Amino acid sequence: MRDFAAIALNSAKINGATYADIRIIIKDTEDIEVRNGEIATLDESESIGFGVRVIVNGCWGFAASSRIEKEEIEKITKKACSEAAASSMLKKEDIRLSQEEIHQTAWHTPFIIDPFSVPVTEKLDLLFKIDKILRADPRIAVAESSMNFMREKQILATSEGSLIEQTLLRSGGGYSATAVKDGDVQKRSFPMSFGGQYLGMGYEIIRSLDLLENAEKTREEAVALLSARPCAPGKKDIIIDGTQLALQIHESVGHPSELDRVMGLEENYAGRSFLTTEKYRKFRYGSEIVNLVADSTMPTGLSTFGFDDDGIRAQRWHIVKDGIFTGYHTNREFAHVIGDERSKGANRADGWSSLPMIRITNLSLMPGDWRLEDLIKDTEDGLFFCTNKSWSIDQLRYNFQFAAEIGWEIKKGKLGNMVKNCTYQGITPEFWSSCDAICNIDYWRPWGVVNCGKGQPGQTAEMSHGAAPARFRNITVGIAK
Amino acid sequence: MLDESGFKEVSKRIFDIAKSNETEVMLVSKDDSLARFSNNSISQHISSMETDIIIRVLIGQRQGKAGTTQYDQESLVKAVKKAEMAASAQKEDPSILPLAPPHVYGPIDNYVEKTATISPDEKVSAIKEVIRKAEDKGLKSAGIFSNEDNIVGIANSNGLYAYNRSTSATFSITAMTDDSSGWAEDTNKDVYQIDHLRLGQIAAEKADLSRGPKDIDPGEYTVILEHAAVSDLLLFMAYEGFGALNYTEGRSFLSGKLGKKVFGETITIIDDPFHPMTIGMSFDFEGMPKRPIPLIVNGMAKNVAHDRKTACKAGTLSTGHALPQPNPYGPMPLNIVLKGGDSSIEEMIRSTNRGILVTRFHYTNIIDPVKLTITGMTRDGTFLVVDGKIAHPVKNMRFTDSVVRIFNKAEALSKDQVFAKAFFGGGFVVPAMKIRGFNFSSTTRF
Repeated sequence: MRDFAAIALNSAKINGATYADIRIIIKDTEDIEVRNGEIATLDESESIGFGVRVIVNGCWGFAASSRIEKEEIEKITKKACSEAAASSMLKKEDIRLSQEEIHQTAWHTPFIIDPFSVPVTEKLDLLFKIDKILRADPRIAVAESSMNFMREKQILATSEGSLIEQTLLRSGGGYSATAVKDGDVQKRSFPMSFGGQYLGMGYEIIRSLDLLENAEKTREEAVALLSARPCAPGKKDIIIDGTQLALQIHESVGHPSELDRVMGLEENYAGRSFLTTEKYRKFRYGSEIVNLVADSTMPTGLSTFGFDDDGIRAQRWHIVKDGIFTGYHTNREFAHVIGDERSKGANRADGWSSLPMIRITNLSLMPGDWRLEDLIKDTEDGLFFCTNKSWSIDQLRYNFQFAAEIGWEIKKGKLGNMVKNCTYQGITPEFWSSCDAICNIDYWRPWGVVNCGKGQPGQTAEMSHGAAPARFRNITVGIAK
Repeated sequence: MLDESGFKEVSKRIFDIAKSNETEVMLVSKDDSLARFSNNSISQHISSMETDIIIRVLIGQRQGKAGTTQYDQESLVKAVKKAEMAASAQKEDPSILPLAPPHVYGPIDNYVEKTATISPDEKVSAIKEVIRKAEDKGLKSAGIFSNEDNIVGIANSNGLYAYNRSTSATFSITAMTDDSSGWAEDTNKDVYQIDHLRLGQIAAEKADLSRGPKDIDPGEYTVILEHAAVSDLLLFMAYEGFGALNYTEGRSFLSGKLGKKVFGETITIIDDPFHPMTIGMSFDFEGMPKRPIPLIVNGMAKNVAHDRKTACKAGTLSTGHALPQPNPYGPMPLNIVLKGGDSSIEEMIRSTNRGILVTRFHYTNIIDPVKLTITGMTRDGTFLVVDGKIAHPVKNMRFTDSVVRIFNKAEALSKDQVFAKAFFGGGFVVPAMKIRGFNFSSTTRF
């Protein structure tokens, strides 16, 4: 593979590139899903290919192919160079890359059990057992349980001399039960929605999730939601659990702090950000107890790696410190925009065929000092929302509306009736400023997001968001008419 | 790319490797390129050639699947073995159907060579023309100019063979001032049918007209939804409402309502892969032939989309809407056409005393799959209409409403239809719509 990398770098130089890199990737995936007693997915796939990125005349070009052969690498590299040259007809200024260390090293995700070595029969056996429990009530119309595993071996070689080999591993799974009655559809998921919990681990994650033990409760909650009261519109103090808060962090802190979005690169599709550069290190994002830390060194994170796709070592830094906005997600191309000499190492692509771009890393809300029981006792009239169901946010990341699978009323410090069709809505900085309590480290977990979309053509990235339940005061809930 | 002769040759090799088992080979091969611009210059210019071969093997009533991007003999042997091992690991499942027999498909031609071969220089030149005009008006521009060459092939050991090659190009542009934006987009199989200068002009005019947006209270308004906004609403109806799996499980707005009136007389929705404005295929991902299927006719629910499995359970025939098998989603219509009416956007504005004109939506997402309650934001040109005229731009608003309710409050549909992509994928042939009593639930700061 190193020989192939050398072919691309030499070819790029011959074709006028002042910078070039090549990523050669072998990606293995295993997807298993059981749905209503039948196997809905059982698929093991291998994707092999390479992508060459060049700077010619001060502009980027990128081309990729699934055929790893000398002639193809030369052809594709030449193509990337001609795209860059064409782009330079319409450039304002040359691409400026930050000066960074050269690395010749290797890194891999730590794991205990290789998920690809675990027999399919064992995986199916667990999923069918879960499926049986979920479907034990006839009001459950759909039971879905799944596991997914991904191993990505990559080589990154740059014209500056970096040569980095990494093997990234991701494992996870989960399930949901959907109850249906007279046009009402209610779903409960475990451990979280949209496929379950994923982390940078081996098969040990599956054995640690207590999947079987929670199936009955999940089924019963889905059925109970059919007769629960809908969430009434109004203003409430709300406590949000970690699985719901993970997506809140993702959408209302993660994406706004991507510097390429701030600079307008996503304007035509996913939008820009209200976090314009004059707010850097000045803007009050939330209350003083709000600390949000980006960390691509975090153990078990989905965005935990040795080096990003620019070849920059993984780092940890504050995005929000004591409520003040203090950091962006950056890469080599944009670090200089905010006066940084070095990139934060947040440039990632979703495979060999995609151009790396700034992505949210593992981004977590730091724990506070409350016990959940005490937080509920301290809440006079509120709602407790769990497990994300839906999300939407405007293109500057101000106005958001999220839905949760399940809620409970809190009356005079006690959890009360179950509530369905839970939604809450707000404006990002106002919302984070209303945060007055965060639960302690005992309640804090990293939660995986595996479906983060960005870019044109679209790419899907993965990251984790650590969170413990937190309280937000006087929030708009329900749908106003 | 793996062309047709290559696909035939690779399929034959796979059938030889798999020997006595029933075997299906699916090819997805693409050569695409995209130039992306922002701040009036090119920010990314990328291209990718990828070939995926997906092998499904049936061993009795068990099936396994494996995919690879490589088609040398060693890789194909490895993939077939993986699929066979996956099948062998299962218990027998009586619901698994044998592979489909051979079929004859209707003629469809969505391949335009000029789209596949347009050069990077040509695309950048077109973008440059548009940006220069925007710059002359003091606007910033962002967008894409993409072209794709796509191949899908299905072959199986029963002799079924289906192959489709198509092209697609998209020019999309957002023009911006300090406090406003405007947007326009077009997709066509023939890149030279896209009028990039006209799109640039529409986006620029919208951005200019949107300057200085005023605050407005949320609440119920008459709305005029331009085509892209209508496409976003239809996306959720297509994905959540028209598939037979959702229907039979009680999770569709149509569940129990086939043969009944669900919308007003003006609403007719057909899935039609042969419509000249869509870029469809004549077969589905099981190799079953597609044909136009009326889903809603003059407000009456007529059909839902079936694959072979849902059809077998329902005692009917596949309508040619299978996704790759097996999957947890069931069948889905991908080429929805909403029939136009006799109005126009101009006439809708003229006939509105007080309402909101919406260019497009942002980040729409579903809250309730049966009521089809969705939420999303307006963007890139939202205007208050008063006494039959655009009065002024307004700040963007969030809507939260039921698509079923919205379609039942349709007052007018435009005669013209366009192919418009939805925010979360897919694209549909739609008219503009005028809706009475559309619910905006909150506002934002811009």
